[in-house]
Amino acid sequence: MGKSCKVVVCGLASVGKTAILEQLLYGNHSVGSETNETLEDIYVGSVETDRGVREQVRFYDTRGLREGSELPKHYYSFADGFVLVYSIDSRESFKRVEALKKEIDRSRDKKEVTIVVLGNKCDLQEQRRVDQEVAQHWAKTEKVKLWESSVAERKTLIEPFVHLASKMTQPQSKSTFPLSRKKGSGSIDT
Amino acid sequence: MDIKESGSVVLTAYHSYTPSRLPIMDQSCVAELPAHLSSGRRKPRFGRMSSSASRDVQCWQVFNRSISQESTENSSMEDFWSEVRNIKESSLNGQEEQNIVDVKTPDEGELEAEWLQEVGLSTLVSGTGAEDGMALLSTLTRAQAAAVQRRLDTYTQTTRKKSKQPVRDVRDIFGVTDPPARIGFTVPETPPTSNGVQQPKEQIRWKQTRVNNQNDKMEGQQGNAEITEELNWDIPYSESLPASHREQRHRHSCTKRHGSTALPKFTICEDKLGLTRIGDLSHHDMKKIHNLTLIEITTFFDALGMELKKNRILRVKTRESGLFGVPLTTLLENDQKKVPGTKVPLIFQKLLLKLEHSGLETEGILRVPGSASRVKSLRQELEAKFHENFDWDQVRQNDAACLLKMFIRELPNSLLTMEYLPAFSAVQNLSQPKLQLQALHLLIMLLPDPNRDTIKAFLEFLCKVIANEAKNRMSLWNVSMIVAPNLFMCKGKSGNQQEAEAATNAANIVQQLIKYQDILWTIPSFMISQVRKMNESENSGNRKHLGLDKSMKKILRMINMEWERPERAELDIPEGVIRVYSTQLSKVSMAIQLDTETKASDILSRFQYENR
Repeated sequence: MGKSCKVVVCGLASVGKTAILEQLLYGNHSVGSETNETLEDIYVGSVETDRGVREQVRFYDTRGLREGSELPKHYYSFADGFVLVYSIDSRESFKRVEALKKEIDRSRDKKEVTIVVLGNKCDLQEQRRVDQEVAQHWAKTEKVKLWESSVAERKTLIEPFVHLASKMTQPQSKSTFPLSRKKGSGSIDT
Repeated sequence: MDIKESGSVVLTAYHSYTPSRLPIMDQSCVAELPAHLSSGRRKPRFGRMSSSASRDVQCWQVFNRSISQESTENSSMEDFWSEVRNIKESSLNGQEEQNIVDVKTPDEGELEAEWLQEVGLSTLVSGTGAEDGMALLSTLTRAQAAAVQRRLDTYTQTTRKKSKQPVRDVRDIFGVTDPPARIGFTVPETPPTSNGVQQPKEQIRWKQTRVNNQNDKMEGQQGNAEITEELNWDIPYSESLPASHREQRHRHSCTKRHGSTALPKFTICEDKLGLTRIGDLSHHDMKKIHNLTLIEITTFFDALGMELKKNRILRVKTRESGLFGVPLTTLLENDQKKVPGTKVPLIFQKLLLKLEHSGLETEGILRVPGSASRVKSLRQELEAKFHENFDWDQVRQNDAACLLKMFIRELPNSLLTMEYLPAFSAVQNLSQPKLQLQALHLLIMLLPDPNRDTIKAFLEFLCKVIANEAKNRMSLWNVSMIVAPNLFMCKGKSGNQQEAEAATNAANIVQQLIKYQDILWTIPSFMISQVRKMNESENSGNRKHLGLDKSMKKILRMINMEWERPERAELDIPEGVIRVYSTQLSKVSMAIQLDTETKASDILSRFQYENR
């Protein structure tokens, strides 16, 4: 087993965090199926990186955030990577992702974390509230990768997670004595 | 002791009177009793006759059985015998299968060895590595341990005699323990901790009845209301025995209510950990339950001075395919290939279903025989094409009932298993309904899973039949009488008196099985906790056996700490949330909010995404 990367999946409630994970890992999530509120589930999956190596990743599926509730602090301290999820039909959920990104930057200290952002439910084009351009622009300034995804199409999920796994396990970033870097410059170079 | 003596009284008394006369004799004997009570006194007739002069209270209780049907009084067993006749006729037509029950007496010591083996302590016999047994032994109560010890003693002695070879000494196994607790009627000093709460209540009730009918000498035993007794499941039955024996003196065993069954009501006190039904447990744990039950029932019977009689069976060649006369296990194996997870043979299910759909309101269902020729041809047709397209619409209810009974009768190893059939019959020799229920309970636990599941299905069906009594006119007693010979028929054994005795016995047992099935099919919590303890001590034993040196352990601990720290960190999880780990699945952990409705299976199902 050894050390596997820990990825925290977070975002506003019912944006599709669990659905994304289940579709990604088992490929059997059916859209519109009954939802169960997650408290905290942990999945172990192996993701093939762009270097062709399979890496084991522990996914922490967190409880959906609500107004006034914060992501518990301990997640920031042990995570090697984050998947921030919003839903394109909810502005609020996107705002939450922005806030989460800030919070991660603030609390990660010198640790290096990889962040990917997923705009979920991109099959609901007609209910879109979050403009893709705006979102991508924000992602660029924050230096994170952003994809729009749909659980209905598993393909849209693969790329972000492969990217995530590859970044997290990049050899130079695995150094036991990480050199101190400038804030915000560590993980993202695209 | 008392039981044994009076047990012999039954038979001698019985020989001299024909069954039909008995009620009358009894009436005369209790003529001085108030009328409403005398009907309740019919039961002990056999004992009464022989010892009428002595009016032995104990004796009285022993025979205070629970049959009670004032309406069907004289014809009460008639149904039974007509059913027996039907069976005989039908078996004359059909090919009678041979079932050899071998009752050879085994060598001394052999029985014990076998017993120890079945209980899961074969290591004691073979003398190698007692570790597996330790877990089991450590959970036993003193009485249970004593029972094991007794058997081991006998076994050791006989083997010593035989081979002079030193065998493991009991003391090696049990270490320095207190002298074996002797349970029996002679130890009334210890106050019953379990029933301490109940006892005062009982006494009050007793006093009240005494005021009510002062003339009656027996009033102490005869409360006239229905009594709801609570079964205490915190302590093993064998442990609670001395207490209940003491109470016997001032508690009557069963009362009769007008027009309905005489069986007292029992309730189970809800354990705070919930009740465990049979079938809730894994196969592995069930095996432990089986072992424990065998120990417990032996202890229980020991304490009551009875012998757990077991028939030994010579393997008989049985059919390997087909439907009728095929062992349950074989049937199930075949069925599981077709429908995975089958617990009750498909043919049996189908018959029950058919009867439930069409027969529940038929007057005299189960009692009225079908047409012999039709049944015969139906049977052949079923054997030929049950699995293809058998037309169930053509089957009449009574024929279906006939087929159902035939199926039960022709099971090579009987539904209640040949081994324990005598033990089931012996249950009726116990003096109190509570004891009877406890013994039955243990026996049910002891049955192999297929038998237990099949009987359960059958009893549930019988319950439905009885629920429709208004239409089909089949009361609990009627149904029991019809079912009894089908379950208990021992081929080739005759002797009219004994048979008559056995007939009432059998019908009584069936009655209890039907009535108490919910209780009987719940695993008593004392066993659950014993299994729990066993698993715990097994686990800790395993850890020890890994034989890790210190440094290795240290590393492991560090790894564990690193592993667990993040999870530990959030102690702020709300109340009622548990965290479930499953290292084999890809969903390795899950925090689950529990509520009062949550069952273990719900939690399991949430882990089964992968198999969906």
